[in-house]
Amino acid sequence: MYEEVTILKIGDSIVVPIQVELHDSSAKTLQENILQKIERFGSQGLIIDVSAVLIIDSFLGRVLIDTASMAKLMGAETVVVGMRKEVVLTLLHLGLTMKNLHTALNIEDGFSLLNRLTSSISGNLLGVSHDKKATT
Amino acid sequence: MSNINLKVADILDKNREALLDSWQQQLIVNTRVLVSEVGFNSIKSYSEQVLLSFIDSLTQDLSAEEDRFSQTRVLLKEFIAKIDFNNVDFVEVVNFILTLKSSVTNLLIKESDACISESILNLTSWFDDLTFYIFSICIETRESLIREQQRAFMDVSVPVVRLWNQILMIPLVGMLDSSRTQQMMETMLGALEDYQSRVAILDISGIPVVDTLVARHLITAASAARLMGAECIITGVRARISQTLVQLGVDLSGFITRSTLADGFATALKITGQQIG
Repeated sequence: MYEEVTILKIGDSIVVPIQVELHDSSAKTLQENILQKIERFGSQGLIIDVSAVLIIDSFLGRVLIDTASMAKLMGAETVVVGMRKEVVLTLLHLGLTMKNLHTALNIEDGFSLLNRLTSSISGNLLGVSHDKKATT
Repeated sequence: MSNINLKVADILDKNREALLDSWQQQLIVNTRVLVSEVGFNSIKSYSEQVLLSFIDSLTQDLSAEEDRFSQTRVLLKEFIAKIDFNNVDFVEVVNFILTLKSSVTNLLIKESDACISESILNLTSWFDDLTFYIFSICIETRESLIREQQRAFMDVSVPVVRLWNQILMIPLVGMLDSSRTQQMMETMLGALEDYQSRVAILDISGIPVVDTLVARHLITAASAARLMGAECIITGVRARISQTLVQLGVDLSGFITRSTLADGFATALKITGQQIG
């Protein structure tokens, strides 16, 4: 039975505070729901708050990484916030360093990181178009 | 069987004075450091007690499973507890009982008749047993000492310093092995959680040699900080260390590294958007 996880839309971003223990199937369902919301709102940022999650196993870790890559394909940057220290230690034991995942201490920091990420992307794009103009 | 034991006990008891004398002579010759450490009078009284309890235990009629020398063991343990193992070698402590063995054997051979040869076999196994007992106590004593020191060392070895608002610093000193890394990570993560610090500086100025193992531990710690959502800066990367790291093919490119703590601190201030003064 899938316990509904709230998915909030705040401005251009989507915030997912995970408050329940996720099983393998519910994690997959959540992933799908998140991606659908991104599609519907055209969001540019995704914040997953895991501060209430006590256990992240290799599967859930994998799902988080995958979700981030999928969101990225849809044009949204992902930040995972509020990981507990016990969770961090288990993830390291499992050998998941999550190099490609952006992380922040709390939601607030997550938002500022997201702002930096999205603004740097648009900055790059402007820079590229500017260069093109200069060469032509 | 018990008849022989009684006979041996009888012979030993009759020649107790001579036996004690020969034992103590041998102790002085073979375990000089031990005698000077514990003191001659103390060794004299202990050797007397051990011999008495030994003879006494021979006279007891016991089944095979029962421990014949429980009383002797207690005495030996008490005796060993007095020894400071920084000064005395294991071998000398073991010699304490082995010299008694040779004294007793000599005496029995001198008094020998037909059945005594069998009792010498018994004697050998008894003394082997007691020797192993002494060995195990010695090793246990030393190991507990080592464990204690390790724990004490652990406690002082991983301080987490709160350098500035949102900036933590962990000075790493000495060798970085897995258990210390684990301890350091736990302390660091706990502090990051408590202070909600955005930057953790790992200062490796105090680490003499960085090999692949140390590098791997560093990467683990830095990844841990990053998973929490904090930035990790590794400082104190001297010329020698950077050379070895590159030669070993260790990839630290994902982390901010600086040669001095001062530089690292400046970077940390920049990251957190702070200024001093």
